[in-house]
Amino acid sequence: MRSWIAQLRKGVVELCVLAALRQGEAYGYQLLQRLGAIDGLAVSESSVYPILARLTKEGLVKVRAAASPNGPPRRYYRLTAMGRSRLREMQHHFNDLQQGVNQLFDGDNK
Amino acid sequence: MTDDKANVQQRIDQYLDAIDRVLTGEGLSRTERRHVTDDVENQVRDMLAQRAGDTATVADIEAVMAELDEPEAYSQGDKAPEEPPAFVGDVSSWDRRLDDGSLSVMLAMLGLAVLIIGFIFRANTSIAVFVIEVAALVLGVMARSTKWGRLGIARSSLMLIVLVLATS
Repeated sequence: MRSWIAQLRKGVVELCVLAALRQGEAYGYQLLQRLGAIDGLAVSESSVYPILARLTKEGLVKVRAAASPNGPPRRYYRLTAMGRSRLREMQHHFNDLQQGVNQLFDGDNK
Repeated sequence: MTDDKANVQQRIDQYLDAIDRVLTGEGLSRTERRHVTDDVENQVRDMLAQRAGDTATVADIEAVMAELDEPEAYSQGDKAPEEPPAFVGDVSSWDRRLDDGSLSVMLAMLGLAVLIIGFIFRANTSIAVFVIEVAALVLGVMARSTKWGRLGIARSSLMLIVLVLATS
């Protein structure tokens, strides 16, 4: 069961990261906290940071470096136009999936 | 105090090096690995500052590390799945093909096929090829955020250029 939950969450982390960035730019830890503040969406850094690196490589997010009081420069991530477009596509597919699964559950309850 | 600072730094470096090794095994580029480890280091520094301010000890860093993922957790991988073009399948997948840009690639290839058939049978198919390639270009532009959409744009543009050169 834990493996299934992990796989399910892994599939939606990218969607959640993009959706969280729609609220505005954030650095990695800030983004983790933003997601963690929502019930059921707490994700670990080992899931989120590699995704941020890949999204940057794919041009879906853009990075701005700014001095940090505690360590190396903070990398602030924000959505690009391509990222917003990808988010809309993913949201569309996610809604379809959600509706389909809900339909199955509703059928079970009848 | 100086020893503590050096030991804290050493512990952080060990942790970041271990993550870097795992990410190397996962096939991430040097730039991607640096991005990840910089984000991790920032998080570690922030957590350490929240916990102990400027006077962090080895005990503090160990407590922070205990809250973080093991370096091995980075091996679960984050590789973008390859999306093959949908050349076969049922009719109900047309919407998906439109979204992922594969329809654009299919049309661009259809244009090429029509052009070749016209060449073999010495028939003038340039108008049909032009219409097909323009349609492929439009669909490619609609799905430009996907790699298949961009491929469709490239292929149809190339075909249109070839067509214009061949007919002029």
